Amino acid sequence: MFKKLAIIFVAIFGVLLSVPTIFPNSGKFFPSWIHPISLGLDLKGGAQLLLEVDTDTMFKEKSVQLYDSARSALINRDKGVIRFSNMHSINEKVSMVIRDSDEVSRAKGRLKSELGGDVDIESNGNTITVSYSDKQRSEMIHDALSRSIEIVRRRIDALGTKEPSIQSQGGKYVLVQLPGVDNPERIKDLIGQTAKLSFHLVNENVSPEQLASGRAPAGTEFLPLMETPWQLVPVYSRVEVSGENLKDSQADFDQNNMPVVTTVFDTTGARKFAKLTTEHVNERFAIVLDDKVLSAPNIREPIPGGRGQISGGFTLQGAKDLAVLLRSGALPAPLSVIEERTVGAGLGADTIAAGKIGALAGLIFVMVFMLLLYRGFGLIANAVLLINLLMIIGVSALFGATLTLPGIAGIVLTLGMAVDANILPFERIRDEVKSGSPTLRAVDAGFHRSMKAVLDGNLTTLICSLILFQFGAGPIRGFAVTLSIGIMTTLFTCIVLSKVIIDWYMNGKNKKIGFIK
Amino acid sequence: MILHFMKYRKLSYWISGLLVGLSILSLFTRGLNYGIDFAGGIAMELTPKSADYTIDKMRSDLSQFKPEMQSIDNKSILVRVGLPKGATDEQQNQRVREIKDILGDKVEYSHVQIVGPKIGGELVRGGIMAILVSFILMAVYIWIRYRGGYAFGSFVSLILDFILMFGFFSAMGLEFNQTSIAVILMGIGYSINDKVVNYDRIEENINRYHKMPMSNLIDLSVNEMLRRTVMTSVSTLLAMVGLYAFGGGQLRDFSVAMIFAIIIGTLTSIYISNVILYHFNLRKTDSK
Repeated sequence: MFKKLAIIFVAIFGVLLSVPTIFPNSGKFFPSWIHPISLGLDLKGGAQLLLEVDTDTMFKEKSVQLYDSARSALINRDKGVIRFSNMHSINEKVSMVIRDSDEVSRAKGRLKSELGGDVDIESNGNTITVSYSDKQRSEMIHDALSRSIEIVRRRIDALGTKEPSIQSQGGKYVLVQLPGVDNPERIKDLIGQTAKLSFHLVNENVSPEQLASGRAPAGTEFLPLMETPWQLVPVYSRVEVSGENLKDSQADFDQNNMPVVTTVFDTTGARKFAKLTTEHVNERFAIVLDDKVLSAPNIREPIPGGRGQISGGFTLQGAKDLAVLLRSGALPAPLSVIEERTVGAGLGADTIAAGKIGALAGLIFVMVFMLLLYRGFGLIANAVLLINLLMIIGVSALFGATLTLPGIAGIVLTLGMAVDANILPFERIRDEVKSGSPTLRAVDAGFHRSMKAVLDGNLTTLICSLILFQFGAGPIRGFAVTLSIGIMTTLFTCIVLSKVIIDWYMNGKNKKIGFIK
Repeated sequence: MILHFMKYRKLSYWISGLLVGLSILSLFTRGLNYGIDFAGGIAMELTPKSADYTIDKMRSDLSQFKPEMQSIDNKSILVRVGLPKGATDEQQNQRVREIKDILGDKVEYSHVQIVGPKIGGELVRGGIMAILVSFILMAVYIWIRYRGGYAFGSFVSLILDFILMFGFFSAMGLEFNQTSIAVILMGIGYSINDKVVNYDRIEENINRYHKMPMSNLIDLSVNEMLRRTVMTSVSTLLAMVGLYAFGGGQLRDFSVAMIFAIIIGTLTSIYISNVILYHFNLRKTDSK
């Protein structure tokens, strides 16, 4: 008896969850966590951001790399040092003067072989100029754009905003559309950070006077502290461990109950970090994010195992955001928001209306079919089907899933499949009655014996949809969510709830069952 | 009356093999008709000159290009249309001209830009990996709950479903977009449920009829389940037919592909996933 009450309570609760979605005005009668399901870009619209990939900054960094590689190509000990002077980079081109004019062609050959085929090498007298070829440049832009899209997607996905549409546009822009978002400030904050993390040693030989003068010795930079930007930290430019070697990061609390970000390095990162902390005990190292020092702790003891903790006077929200940024990876180039607009529903009212009618038609077809097939039991199956529909909507809303037009089609499909969990026991009941069981026993046996098939069939499907949720993105995730929720509500309504209703209908008597002749 | 599926199993294998061959052939020669989600295309920003020219009217005028449309700031409309993968500049300009011919001076044109795919290579690879991982995990689940033979049987038929669904998208020239992935996912969900339910009955019959030859036992089980198999697929098909008939153009591709997926899933349950068990010597393998 208690079990039956619990089942009915769950069903009523599930149905109640869907009420704010179905009657939008009823929201005021419910607590805030029972809210209407959010609608996707195609049904409702949202915010749109146009981001520009700052390729200038990227090329500046690339030309520093080009400078370094050109330099090490020429002073390669194994192949013989080629002497040069006045190496400098202007306008993303690196030029140098070769001392000995006889060596110019050898230098060109060396640069060609060391820097790969995608650089242009020109010479004018003893001066050689190296620059990235146009082909290489456009590949770099293309690469930066597609990596930016992946990283922006990861950051937005981590915020829990469902089903963003992210697309490159016009060669160096990223168009982001966010369903149901009115105020994208937080997302703009997250997207606006490059999130390049690195670990450096602190140069302890710099005197306070030198620091105040702002003239950093070669190989050292004065970087501001994140919290108190007027304080500078003298940091060696050399990157000891880079954020690319991070495997995971999470927000957590330290022993003083202050929010921190924990980091886990991959194997390479763990090795480098262990080496750094072993060789420099009692020195300070700086954790640098986008050219600002988060903190510069003292190394008290070697840290093997690749786990670290970043403190920096975070708020909990700040720690969570940083963990998201570090997990998602650094942007290859800074992104700037150049335009913010609102988008309306992608589909017009007519299309949405047609979609709803189609969904309704599909549902009615299934219900008529069940009624013709199973008479009284069909009626029960249909009642349960409607409860299932409401529960899918309600639970989806609870989990913050986003409803799109294909999503509606997916729900109809799920319901079409859900009746299988009624057809199986009903067919079993038919078999039992035919082999001579009284109907009351047949009902029990029918449900009992088909249970394993229904459960295993649905749980295998659930495995499939959970994996796709884990690895998929955007709308694939949306479908996986609908399918998973649908499986659970189906198991509940078709196995548990229909049995309760049918027991009540049978009323402990061997009633004749309509569909069995 | 009992239908003899085992007797014709060689024919089932040959037909499946043929269909797989045709699917692969079509995938290699015709390829997939990638939509804007995968291939990218052109984005045009347009402002209707009159409020009567609604987003729905514009959509039906441009329906041949399967446009994605979004109103922006309540006044202009962002229209996105796909282009074949690796389209030349000439093809792009041609498409823009065609759109301008259709819309004429009903709208004002602002900028036209090339847009990239919404689904990048990383996501596609991730998605395919996810599907394969899910096949393996489903097979492992079936192995644990039933026997190894069933795991192999379901795995083989899922691969078959998977190839045939892609083949269908290619052969019919249906647009392949994010929703198509969802169709394949739902199709696989449908198919595996169907297979497990049939396996459950075979397992039950193995434990009931110890002496019955395997081929008779499989035939018996499939026949016992046939009513249920057909009725479940009819019910699911009816839901999709309703969507197809009344759901409007947006859902037509979804419902057509899904109808095919359900039919394929049902047929592979009846003709392949069960009869293939014959080769795995179920009685000898461990049972739970």
